[in-house]
Parts: sequence; structure tokens; C-alpha cells
Amino acid sequence: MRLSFSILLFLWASITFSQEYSFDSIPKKLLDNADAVVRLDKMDVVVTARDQMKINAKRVVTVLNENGDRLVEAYTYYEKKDKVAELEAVVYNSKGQEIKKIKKRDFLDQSAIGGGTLYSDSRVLILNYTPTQYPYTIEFTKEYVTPNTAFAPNWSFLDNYRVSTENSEFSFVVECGIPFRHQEENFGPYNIDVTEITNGIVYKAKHLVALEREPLSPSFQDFTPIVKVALDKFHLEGVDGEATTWKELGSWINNELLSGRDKLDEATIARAKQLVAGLTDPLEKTRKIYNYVQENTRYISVQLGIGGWMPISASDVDRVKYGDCKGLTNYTKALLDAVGVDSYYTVVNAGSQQVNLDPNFPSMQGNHVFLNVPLEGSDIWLECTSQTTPVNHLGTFTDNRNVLKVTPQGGELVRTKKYRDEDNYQFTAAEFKVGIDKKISGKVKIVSKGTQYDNKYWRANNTRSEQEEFYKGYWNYVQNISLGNVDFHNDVDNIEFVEEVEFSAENYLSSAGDKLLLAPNLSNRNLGVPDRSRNRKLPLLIRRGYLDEDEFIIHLPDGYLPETWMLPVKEETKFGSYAISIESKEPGVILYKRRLLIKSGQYPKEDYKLYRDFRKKVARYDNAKIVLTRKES
Amino acid sequence: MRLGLFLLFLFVQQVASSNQIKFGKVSKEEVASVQHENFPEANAAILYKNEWVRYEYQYQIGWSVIREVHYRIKIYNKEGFDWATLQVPLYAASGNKEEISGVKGFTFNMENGKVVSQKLRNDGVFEEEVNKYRNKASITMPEVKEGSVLDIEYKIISPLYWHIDEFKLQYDIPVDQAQVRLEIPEYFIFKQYSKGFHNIDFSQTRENRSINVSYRSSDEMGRLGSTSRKNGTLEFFENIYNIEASNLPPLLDEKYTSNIDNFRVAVNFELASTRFPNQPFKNYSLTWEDVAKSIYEYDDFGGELNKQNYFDDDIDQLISGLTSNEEKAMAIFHYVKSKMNWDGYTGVGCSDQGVRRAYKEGTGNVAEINLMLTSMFKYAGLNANPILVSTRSHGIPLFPTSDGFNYVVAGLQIQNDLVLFDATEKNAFPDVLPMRALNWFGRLIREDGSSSQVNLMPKTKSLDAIMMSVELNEDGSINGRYRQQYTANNAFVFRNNYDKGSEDSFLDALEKRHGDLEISEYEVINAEDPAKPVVQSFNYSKEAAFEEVAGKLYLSPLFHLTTRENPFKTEKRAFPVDYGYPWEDKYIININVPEGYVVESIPEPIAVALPDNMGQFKYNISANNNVISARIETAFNNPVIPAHYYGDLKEFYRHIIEKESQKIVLTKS
Repeated sequence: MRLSFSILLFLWASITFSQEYSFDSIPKKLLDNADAVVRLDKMDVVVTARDQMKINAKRVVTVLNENGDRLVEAYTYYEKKDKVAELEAVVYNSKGQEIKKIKKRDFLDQSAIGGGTLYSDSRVLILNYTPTQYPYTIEFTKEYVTPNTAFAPNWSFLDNYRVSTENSEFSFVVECGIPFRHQEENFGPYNIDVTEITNGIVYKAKHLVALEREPLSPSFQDFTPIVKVALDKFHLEGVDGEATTWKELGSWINNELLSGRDKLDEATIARAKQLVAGLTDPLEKTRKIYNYVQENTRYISVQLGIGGWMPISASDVDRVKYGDCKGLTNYTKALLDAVGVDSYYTVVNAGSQQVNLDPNFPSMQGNHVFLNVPLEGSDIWLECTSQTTPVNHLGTFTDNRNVLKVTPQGGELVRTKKYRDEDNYQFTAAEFKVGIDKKISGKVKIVSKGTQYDNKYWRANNTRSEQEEFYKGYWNYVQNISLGNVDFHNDVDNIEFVEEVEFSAENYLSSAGDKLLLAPNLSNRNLGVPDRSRNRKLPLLIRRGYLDEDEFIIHLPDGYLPETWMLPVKEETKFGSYAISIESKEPGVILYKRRLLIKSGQYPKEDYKLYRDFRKKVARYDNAKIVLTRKES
Repeated sequence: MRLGLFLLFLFVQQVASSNQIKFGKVSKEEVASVQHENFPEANAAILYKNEWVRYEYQYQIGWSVIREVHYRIKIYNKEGFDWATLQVPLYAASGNKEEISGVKGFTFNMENGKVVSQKLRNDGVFEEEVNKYRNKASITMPEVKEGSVLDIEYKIISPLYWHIDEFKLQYDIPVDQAQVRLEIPEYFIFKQYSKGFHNIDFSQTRENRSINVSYRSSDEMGRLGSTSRKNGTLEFFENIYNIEASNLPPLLDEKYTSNIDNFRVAVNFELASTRFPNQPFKNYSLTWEDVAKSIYEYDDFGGELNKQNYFDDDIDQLISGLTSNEEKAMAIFHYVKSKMNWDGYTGVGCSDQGVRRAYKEGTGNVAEINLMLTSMFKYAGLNANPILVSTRSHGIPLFPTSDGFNYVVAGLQIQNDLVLFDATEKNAFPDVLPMRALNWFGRLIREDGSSSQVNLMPKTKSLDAIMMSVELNEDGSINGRYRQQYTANNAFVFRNNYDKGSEDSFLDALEKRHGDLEISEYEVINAEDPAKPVVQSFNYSKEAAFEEVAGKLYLSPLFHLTTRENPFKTEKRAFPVDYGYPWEDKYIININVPEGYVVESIPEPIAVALPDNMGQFKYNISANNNVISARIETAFNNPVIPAHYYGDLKEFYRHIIEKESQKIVLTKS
């Protein structure tokens, strides 16, 4: 009797299942702002040994329209030592009836080499399915085993913008007795059920509505609920590790991944010493060595097994003169060691989003390494993958965030430099002649610093046609530009980029009757107004501020006078300030001055509209024209 | 005597052997040079490229093609470092795997006035399975710095003896000298084609060759299982081709080109026939007619096209009661479009699943969908044929080759017109093909194997017609009603965007595109009916749409529809501008002059035309009582503007922008 009972139960279960995936059974509030609904996202992780982690996952997604196709996410990445035991996708129509089943062998097996990497052994198995109708549902199950427990999966209850979650379940169980840590983030308004079980923890959440992307808002992971887990003892591509603090994790990186990989042969050491011969200042030595690395190496990324985490040895880099961020950083460190300058391999989460390594949750984090050189009183940073970044220029790639400095005494979380608003500076000086024929011609000089330097310095070797394309885009409000001489000067010591550009433009002025209209701001209009954000839900975040100052000397056409003087404008807001003024410099010559300061900071969502209003004003004034009338003589 | 004459003919051109460049031997000048002589802006250059193709025969394996490649690359600056890594694609289709071997390399640098070299080791060579059909080898060189000269050599062994890859002679960096040598056994007759705008030296000779072939054969009759190795000699002659080109300029991509590869200097060898001993002479594609015929004869094309019994009942039912051919055609087209879903794959052949399975699953590649469509048309008694097409990304095949086509559409003869159908897109319509298929000419194949060239270019202009009313408000904002009609390809593009996501997302994007328009009462007419022009209409408002200076109002009559930027920025252009299809924008804008104001001045009307009736711009404006009416029309009658008209095109846009920027001035009455 037991048998038939269980069959009955099974039948009943399968019937409810097909109903479960019908489109109609989706709660209405989950359809708002959504291109797809995650019906169920369930992952069970069981750690059976320090080097064995079993993952069972099921993900069911109902796709509502074409934009939702990408949210199915029916794939699994795998490394050489991983075993993908099971992989299957079942497709259901909108009524929840099964229409197709896709087995593991019909998944595409592809190399998973990311942009910028030459070779890696990562691969991906990915579902290749052409939807035949909307909405449709895909139930995707996977089961795999990995020895790499250093990366215990993190769990997000919401995947992305424009996708809601009906059910999300995550369990993490350690069967082998290794202690583990977990951290819940941004659970705030969400109702997430947390159950501690023997050796593990289970999370369940229901009905998380879809969010709309909003301009100038914090990063998705900074306000949506996630769980981080980490094992105190772990394994990574053949190497065991143990850490509960950043200090310990740093020690492990130092002892297991770096130690002994910084040896250089005598000839190279001698050459390094010769490079700095006669120098005593450690900063000068650092410049010399860094310059040598920049002139002699290039970035090539190869990630094989533990090589994804361990730098290729300094002597190998010395031989081939290329490497990835780990290899080039370790090589630079070895050269600095050779000339008696201490430096530290530093792990960072690179990118403009300023993602911190979490001080409260030490685990394998970060996506990049660079080099820290502590000099008296201050830290110097070296980006060893770039052949052009100046000494100590962080830019938006690595500025203002917690990073892990790896020292022989262990790891240490330190913060990189924050650019103050005024540090991101651009000064534009221009002198122009305006003709009666409505033509302008003159010269512009632009000096850029801080993060504004970031936007410019890589253009130092642009070809003439690239320059043309660039300036015609930068000054797209000026028609019919012809460029004259273009000069760039990249001052790497002061981290300053100077552009000197001659240009002229036919018909810059427009006519209205017998009057001429002249827009005095001819070379730095800030016309970008952030997009409207209806029913704003997220705070306004200005990640980095900047300061622009401009002085344009304009020679008016013979016989013309300004009919109106633009009133001096002064706008003060909490987001920044804007001021313009025009004064008569000498007869027929006017001086236009402009100053725009944008302050970084996070402001309540109500301020978004005010900020937009401010930027609209800036755009309007930057476009404003003065009327020139013929002098009555 | 015939043979003798033939030989004589072949020997006419003798190769002049040029200064030999040897692998691993570079000159001091090459390494010391800091800038390319003719193209000083070049980041790198190919100083020399040599490819040597020859055939090998092994008894067990048969013929294979060996391609030896030698690159000598000069790196001038850091931006040229990408050229220190070569990526070699290798086919791996169904058991026919190309293999790379013999990878060698040297990097040469100047050190203290001397040339020093560094050898490429194994750790700079990587092989990777990209997917089921493709492998890739990557070679990255050691010790590369500004000024380095790289010598790289490798060999590809291919079992695909009937196929010789294109010889590219031009890249986005200059190529100083390129040589290709092919040694092709008499059994294979290849035809040669070259493309691009540059001189290529070409010569052909003939040499005798004998190869030793060892094979196993069973011993005397009757003995079981015993074989022995035997040796034999195969005597034959080979056609030797030598190709040379020098001082090739960099090939740089430009905006609005359909496919830069169309302009690349390259040489192709296409198998024309085979003539094996004791076998009949076998002819392959030589003319487009032949190519079409041979594609038609493939099972995965003609064979699939001729199947009907999988759909007959459904089509019987679908067209029962329909009398006119037009009705039947539309019913079938609609049926296939809604039933079938394109999987994104191109190609002139059906996949392994074939039309029957595709029909059942509702998913298929382009051949499955459009051959099915053609077949249904024929079944319904319509005069339909498949048309072979090369997509834009596939490029323009300048010579007859079986690889020349990668796409199929259906052509239906309706009276004197040939109407084109592509059912891979839900929003497609007769004679409206997706952009990917709007390339060059197609080739229509009839049942008897005969074929003819078909112009794919739409005959009618795609319209974008806007009617907009404008009220000026005191706070500098405007509002009014907006109505926009799209036809043909414009309507196709609109519908695809509209269908993709939710209407909210669509409206958000629409508002942003017009610089923060605020849209209400949005309405779309005929979104579902591609037979009719699609129309969107809405009420709009927009802030800061005009200026007030000293009591006068200055406004641009096109407001947010103004063309603000010349799309053509570079001074010169080498290749034609290609819009894909002819188009016309027609804007009618009615502006109500607010009370208390009168018109002080309005811009002058103008009309500008491109040469050869390629396009025109007309700007008309008039003020009547308190309404200003503007009518602005821009049309490109010919979607492809040859490069030598680039100056005219730029000037044309200059006029458009200047005229559209001119202001109406209103003054207080």
C-alpha cells in the first residue's frame, strides 16, 4: 500500500505543478514594471568537505516580453574541476502546460572567456531556446559539484531591474563541521524568513516586486536584499585556506598565493638598481621603476586554474614582458623590492561604482589588483596594467573605496583617495573673433585634472580624424566646425591634460531680422539634464562632483553692439552652484566668465526634481544668446 | 596538339621571384624605424605577410590542404600592442577539424644600438574550443615594446581540401608587402577572384610533382587478413599561383557603411571543378547560375522545398474559400509569420531538423521558414520561388561562390511584379525585408534550376510623416498634438521597437529621445496590422522649448525635431554611405502665435538637392494671421550615396542644419 500512496501523491504533485507555472497564477503586483517574473529561485548548497560543495538549483522564470528573454539565465559556468551532474530546462506555455524539454546534451557548451582575457579554462553551458510565444516559462534545474569552496555562492533575492520574484529560497548547510559566517544585507523593508538549522541556515522570501531603474541612483546591490556566506576553512583550485578576518585572509593570500613568486634574476635586479642609480627619494625611485614597467610590459590576461588567483611569477613576467593585473603588480613589486622601496599587492573591486570590500565580512572579494607604495605620510598607488596611467592616478577605476592591502603581517583594509569635487577640475580659456559674416574663429585651451583627466588622457595619441570626430561631437552644438592646429600635452607628473585647439565655424551666429544672435558660451556647454524620473523611489546619488571654470574673450563684429547684456546669473543650490557673467573688456571686446560646481553626495529622493531643475537652468543659460544690433552711427 | 597549346598558354607568365624575406632575419632598419613611412599615424604595420598553400596526400586520409603563414609585424606604439597577439580561427565542423602546428615566433628589439631577439615559447600559444563548430588558437609574443618587430609563423592543416580560405591582403594597419603562393594539383581546378581597390600582381605557372604514396593492400588472393605495405608514385602536375601586392593603405571603417569587408583587398580561390584520374570531370559552381543550381540540388534546400505533405491539410483549410491569389498569399504569409519563430540562424540550407520538424516545433532557421513559405505558396497554386540573399554582415560576394549566399527569402510573381516575402519577422510585410537582407542583389531560383538576378532594394520610399501643432506658453514651454505616420521599412522598425517590451518602457524611451517630452493620451493605430501604415499620436508638452530675450520670442519652428548635428564629421570618405532603403521625412508644423504677439520675422524658404536626384531638402514656411505653418521635407531617393558625392552630402546636411536652426522672431504687438 505504501507504493500506491506515493504514486498518488506524485500525481497530485505534478498536477499542481503545471498550474503553478501558469501566467494567470502570478500575483498582479508582480507584473508591474516587469519584463519577467522569477516564479521560483531555489538553491541548496551543501558543503560536504573543505573541498567539496554540492549545489542543487531550480530556477523558474516566466518571461513576459522580448526584453525579458535575457532574464531567464539558464546557464551554468564551470571550471575544469567542477562536475555538472545535471542540467535540464522545461518550457511551459502561458497556461503552464509543458511544451518542450531540453536535456543537458542540447545545451551549448562554450568557452566563457570574458572581454579582455586572452585565454582561460572557464566554460559555460547555456540554454539555446527560441521562444515561440509570450508569455512563456522556463524551469531550469542544475546540479553540480565544485571543489572551490572559497567562493560560497552569495544569494540575491531580486535579480535585476524590471524583474520581480515570486519565491526565493536559499539554504546553506555545512556537513563537514567547518564553521561558516553569513551576513544579511538590505533586508530592511523586505519580509524574509530566516531559519537557523543544524549546521546551516535557510532563507525564504515571497513576492518581491520589480524595481525600475532610476537615473543617478545607488547601485542595485546597495539597496536590494542579499545574503553573503563564507566558510572559515576553504579550498581554491588545489590550495587550502583559512580565514575569518581580513588580516588572516591577507596572510593566506600572502603565504599561499604570493610568497616566493617575486624572485628576480641577478641581471634584472642589477638593471633595476641601475635605473635608480643616484636617486635617494623613494618617490623618484618609484617613478623610475613604474615608468620602466609601463615602457616594457603590456596587459595580457591568461587565467588557468589557480592562475586565476595566483600571479605568474615575476621572473616569468620579466621574460615575456606581459601579464594580467596580478602578474604585472607582483612584477612591479619585485622590481621595487630590488631598489629598496616597500610596496604591497592590493586587492580591489575596480570600476566606477566604488564597491567596497566589506569590512564586516571578510571573504574572497574584489576583481582586480594594483600596487600600494606607502611613502612618508601618504600612500602612492600604481595601476600596473596600464602603459599610460600616471603614478598615483586612481581615477574612477579605483578611487574612494576599501581595498585589501596584503602585507607579510597579514591583510589590512585601507581606503583609497577620494577626489574632492574641486579636484575634478577643468579650466577652459578661449579667445574668439566674431565676423559680420556670422563666422567665429579662435583658439581654446582646456586643462583637465582629477577624474576629468580620466576622460581625456587616453586620447593623447589620437589620429587627426579621431580628433575631428571627437571635437565635432564635444562641440556638437556648434555647426560647421573646421579644426585648425590641435595640440595635446599630457603632464604625467602633475596629472594634468592640456588641449589646445584652434577652430572656426561658419554661421555660428544666427540672424533674426537685421540682428545677430550670439551664444557667448562657445566651448563648454553643459546641456545634459538627467532624465525625468516619475514616482522617484531611490535617493539621488551624485557619486563624484566636479568644477568647471571658463573664461572666453570674444571680439565682436565691427559695427555691432550688444543690445542686451546677459544679467549676471548666480544659482546656489545644495547640489552645487552656477555663475555666469559678461563684462566689457574694452570697446568691441567682451569677457564671458562661467563657473559650474557640482557637489558629490547622496540626497533624499525628493531632491531629484530640484537637482533636475538646477541642471535645466544650467543648460538653458549655457545655450542663452545675446542680441547684437548694428551700431547707429 | 591541343595539349601542347594549352601548356604554352599556361607558361606565358613566369614568376619574377622577388627579394626573399626569411623568417627570423630582420634588418636593423626595420627594428630601428619609429614611424611608418607612408602612414605616420599607424600604430602598427604588417611589413610582410606570406602565405603558402599546398596539397598533401596520404593514403588513409586522402587530400589535405596545408597553409603556412608568416607575418612580420612592426609595432610603432602602445596602441599597436594588440597586433602582438594573433588569433587564428580554426574550423571544427563535424569531424573535419583544422589543426594548427609549427607555431614559431621571434620578437626583435633594439637594445643599445643592437638588434636583440626573444623567442616565443609554448606559454604564449593557446588553443581553445570556442564551441562545437569553432576552435581558436591565440599566439601572443614576448618582450613587446614600442618599436618591436615580430616574426610569427604557423601552419594550418585542413582536411577541407575543396575549400581555400580567403587571402586577406589589407587590414586596419598598413601592409607593406604581401605574397601568396598556391600549389594546386591538377585534379583541382580553382577559379580566382580579387576585390578591393588596389593593384595585385598575379601570375600562374605549372610544375611537375611526384609524391610517394604508401598504402596497404592485401596479399595474394585467398590468404586471410594478411596485408603488406606497398609503395607507389603518383605523378602529376601542379598549377602554381603567385600573388603579390605592396604598399596597401590601412582599411578604416566608416559610419554608415554596410560592411567594411566589401572593400577589403583580398583574393579568393573558388573550386570550379575536379578532374581525378579514372573519374569523370566534375563541374562545380562557376557562374551565379551554377551556384544557384547547385544550391537548389542540395537535399537541405531543394529537397526540403519540395516537401508538402506536412502542411497540406492545414493549408487546404487555411485557403479554402479564398479566391484571389492576393488573399491566399496574405493568408499563408500571415500564417507562417505567426506560427514560426526564427532561431536567429542564417544559411541557405535547412538544419538537421528540416522543415517538417521546424513546422511542428514552430521554430526554425531562415531557410526552414522561408522555404516552407515558398512551398506553401506553390502548393496554393501561386507562382513562387525562393530567392538567395547575402546578408549585410555576410557582405557582398563579388564573384560566384557557393558561400556567397547565406539567407533565403520568398519571391511571388503577381502579374508583372515580383513581391518579396520574409516570414522570419513578425512585423514583416510583402516587399518589406529586414535590414539584414537589404544587401546587393538576390538570385531567384526556379524549379527547373534556372535563375535570375533580383533587385532587393525597396522601390518605394519609407515615410516618416509628422503633423505637429504647437501652443507657446508664457513659461517657455510648449504643448500640442503630435501625429506620426510610418510606412514600409520605417513602420517595420517602429513595430519591432514597440513590441519588444512594455508600453511604459517604450514611452519612457520615446520621451527621452525627444529630450524630455512629456507624453499623454498615447495611441497607436494599426500596430497589429502591417498592411496599413502605423500611426502614433499623443499630446505632448515640453519645457524650455523657446527663448525670450528682451521681450521678444525666438523659436525654432522644428523645436525638438530640429536636426542639430551633422552626422558626417570627417573631412574625407573612402566608401559609399549606405542608408539601407530610400526614405522621406515630412514634417508639417503649425504654430499658434500667442495673443499679444505678432510675427516679426520668419526664415526664408529654401530647397536644396543632391546631384543626380539622389535626395532633396525642402523648407517652406509661411505666416497667416496668427498661425505659422512650416513644411519640411527631407528625402533620399537613393539609399546608397557613392563616396565621390560625400562632399555634396556634407554640404547638403550643412544646409539642413543651418536652415533648421534659424529662428522665428515674435514681438509684442
